[in-house]
Amino acid sequence: MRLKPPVSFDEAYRSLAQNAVLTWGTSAAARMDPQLQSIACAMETVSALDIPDSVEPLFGENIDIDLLAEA
Amino acid sequence: MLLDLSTSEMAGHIAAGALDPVDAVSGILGRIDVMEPKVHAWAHIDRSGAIETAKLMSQEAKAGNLRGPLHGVPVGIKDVFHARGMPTLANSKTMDPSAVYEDSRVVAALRKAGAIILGKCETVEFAGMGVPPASRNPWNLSHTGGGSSSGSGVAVGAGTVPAAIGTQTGGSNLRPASYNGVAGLKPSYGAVARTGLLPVSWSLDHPGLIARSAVDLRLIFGAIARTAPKPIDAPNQWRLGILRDFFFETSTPDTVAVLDAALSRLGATGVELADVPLPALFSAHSAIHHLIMSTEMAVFHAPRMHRHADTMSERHLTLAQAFSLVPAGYYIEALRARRALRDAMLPLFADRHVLVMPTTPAPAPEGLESTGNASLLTPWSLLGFPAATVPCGLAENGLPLGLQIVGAPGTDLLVIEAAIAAERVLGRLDLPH
Repeated sequence: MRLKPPVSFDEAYRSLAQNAVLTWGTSAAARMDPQLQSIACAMETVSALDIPDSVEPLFGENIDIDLLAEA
Repeated sequence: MLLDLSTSEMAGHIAAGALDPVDAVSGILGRIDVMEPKVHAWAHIDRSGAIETAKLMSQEAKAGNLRGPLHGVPVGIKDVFHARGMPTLANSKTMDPSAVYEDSRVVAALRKAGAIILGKCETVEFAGMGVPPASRNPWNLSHTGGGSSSGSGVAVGAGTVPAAIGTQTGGSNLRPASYNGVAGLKPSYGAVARTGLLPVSWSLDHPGLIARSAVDLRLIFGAIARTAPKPIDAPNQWRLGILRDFFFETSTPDTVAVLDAALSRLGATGVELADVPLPALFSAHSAIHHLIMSTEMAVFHAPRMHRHADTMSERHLTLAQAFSLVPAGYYIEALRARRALRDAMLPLFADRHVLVMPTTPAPAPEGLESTGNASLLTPWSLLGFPAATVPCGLAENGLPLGLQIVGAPGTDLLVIEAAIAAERVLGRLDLPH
């Protein structure tokens, strides 16, 4: 799914729904429809953001300082 | 009365020889016998282990040998942290009840500080959005105790333990604290080690704590923080920023009235209050959080979906399957947006010590199917900013509401001091009858 130009809810939802059938089957895809709609909504919002090129992803970490010191 | 004691009060009495750890644990177990059939806060209680440990600690205390600042104080642990000698079930049939675990870092830190690990507290399935437990709000048994740290909040709120450990990925720690009328802390992201914790979403998960009093937050955070926090002096005059955008706008009139009354009381003591506007990018916070949490949760549960699809609840399975479909580019873009939002939010603290707002937009909802609304808590889980809650009054239906206090990353002790200062003005709630 493209990020830019921004996707609409309908585009994102159609893509997710098709992938759901291919990946998990028709029955499961029907069951997860409310979740697909909420993901599509989030994709529409994030796709429309204008984040500067210089911004890097903010990942998480779990660096256990004490354990590193012991190692 | 023993059951009204906060963690710090109980620890102080034990250290002074005025309370024996065996009496403390016995009293708590007696309260559990009365309350647990009504509120269902505990997944596992180690009665004999707690009594045996208390006997040992009683002898140590009499000899003047205190293990640490929590010597002899019983503590509950959300059932997603591993604890030696106890099962970790996470409210899921996919977990092996006979599996043997070593202590998580949080549990090990608590034991080192002298706490007695009383047992495991109920959780929503895998601390996510799966099947909720049967935990009930002690203020009104027909209402939820919140979640996903349901048992931790209910156990403290019902007086069946003075403090409990929870987790927060969206709103799972402060929401049950607020719903049950007690104090809570979600530390800065990374301030407390997650080793030995079943994850929901690695980059959003925060171990947290729930206790009877804000003073307890300082004591317990000092014990479980990855590095010992440097003591600070609380400001002589607090400068609080009020987030009326979104946080008050989306709250019920009842909640806004209680919050405004609480802020007026703080203002009357000389606290400086000023409204602080939110940056435009804030409006995307929920979407950013959704894409990050969904992707990471689906990855963690991919092997479990494969091996245990038959025993996993349909609710959790459906979520994990749907979440696996988020495109990778959107996950990365959400992580970039998170950094941009964090950078846009930091200036809010330029001339304000902390920000204040409601903890939840309404009190605990009726029924157990939903654990309530996490929308006012999710932003701080996304950004990793420290946040605390203290009770600030009762809604019209008699259920507790909380004042949320948020600081810049790494200012956990400042947030705790602000919570203590607010609690001195607003007071603690008595245990519900």
